Amino acid sequence: MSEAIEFVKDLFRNQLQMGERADALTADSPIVGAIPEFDSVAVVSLVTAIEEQLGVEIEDDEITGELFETVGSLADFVAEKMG
Amino acid sequence: MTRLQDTPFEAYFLDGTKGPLFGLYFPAVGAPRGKVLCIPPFSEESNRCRVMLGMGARALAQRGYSTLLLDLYGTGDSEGQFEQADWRTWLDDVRSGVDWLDQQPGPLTLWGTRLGAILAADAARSLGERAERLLLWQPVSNGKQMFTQYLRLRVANSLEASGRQETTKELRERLAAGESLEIGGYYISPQMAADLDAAQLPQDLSLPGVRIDWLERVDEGKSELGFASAKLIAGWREQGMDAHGHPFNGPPFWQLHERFLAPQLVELSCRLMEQGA
Repeated sequence: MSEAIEFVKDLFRNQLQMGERADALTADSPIVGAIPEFDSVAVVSLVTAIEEQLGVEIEDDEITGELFETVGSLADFVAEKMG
Repeated sequence: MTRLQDTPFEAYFLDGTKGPLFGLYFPAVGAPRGKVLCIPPFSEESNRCRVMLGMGARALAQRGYSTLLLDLYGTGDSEGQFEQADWRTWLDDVRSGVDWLDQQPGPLTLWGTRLGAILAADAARSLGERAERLLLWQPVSNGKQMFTQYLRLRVANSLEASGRQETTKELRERLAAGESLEIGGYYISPQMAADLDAAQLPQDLSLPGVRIDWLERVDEGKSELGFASAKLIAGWREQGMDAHGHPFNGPPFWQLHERFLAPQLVELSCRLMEQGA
């Protein structure tokens, strides 16, 4: 699980250019409505980056509001995809 | 040397096949070494890239390359609505830009960013020997894949809305049935959808005599291009093409809302242009 959290923090660092603010993220950190960089383009870039870096496919119906509720919820999803 | 931000430029309307096209022209500073036509990315990405393309154009002009930033039909300040645009018209626009640059001395480079890379390669094929180089920034190699991601903007937009979510498959079906769809503030026509699905940088891209420089972002600390890109470029080289991949570090500016710059990309581009000249 901590591996998945680090993966998600790296995504925010690299894809959204959050810099040091990404270091402070924890599983409880909210995403939607809390991170200003998080617009629909950001959602798509994160989903694409997960697909490319893990070599997996993500279905449209997996892209939900719950998925992006917190860093922890996204990390759970990533952990599942990591297998 | 003039400061980058003080590089002189002129605004023009060029004759396009369907109406005037807006262009920003940065004439070569000092002795001219060549000419460059900038072909922008698709829709919202072109807005997010605007500052970087301006920075690239200024830097190229300072190195002696007269550079034209062109708004394609239905985009920016050019004629037409986005919904009326299609691939064929955009290829004509590229040719209009090339014709406009014709009077400038030196070899011609088509500089394509993201989807603009595919347009550049398609145009280069029909231009024959007129285009000597392709300078590609973060190229999209598969238009269909890019369009799926684009359709996902609409899926992502409805994240907080209640009810059943749309899928990219359903959106594609509606487009195929003849409906135009609004996505991220742009109306996508069925023709555009079909054109994007067909657009690609194919493994059998045959561009003999054209030097291709492919510049792609990698995360800090990494130095290898993505697997798919590396494979495509290696295949081209096996076929005897003069293709080269170059990684760069920097922010993924084409997808960021805030203004981020990647000066390393600009510097690398200028160096490559000078190297091969």
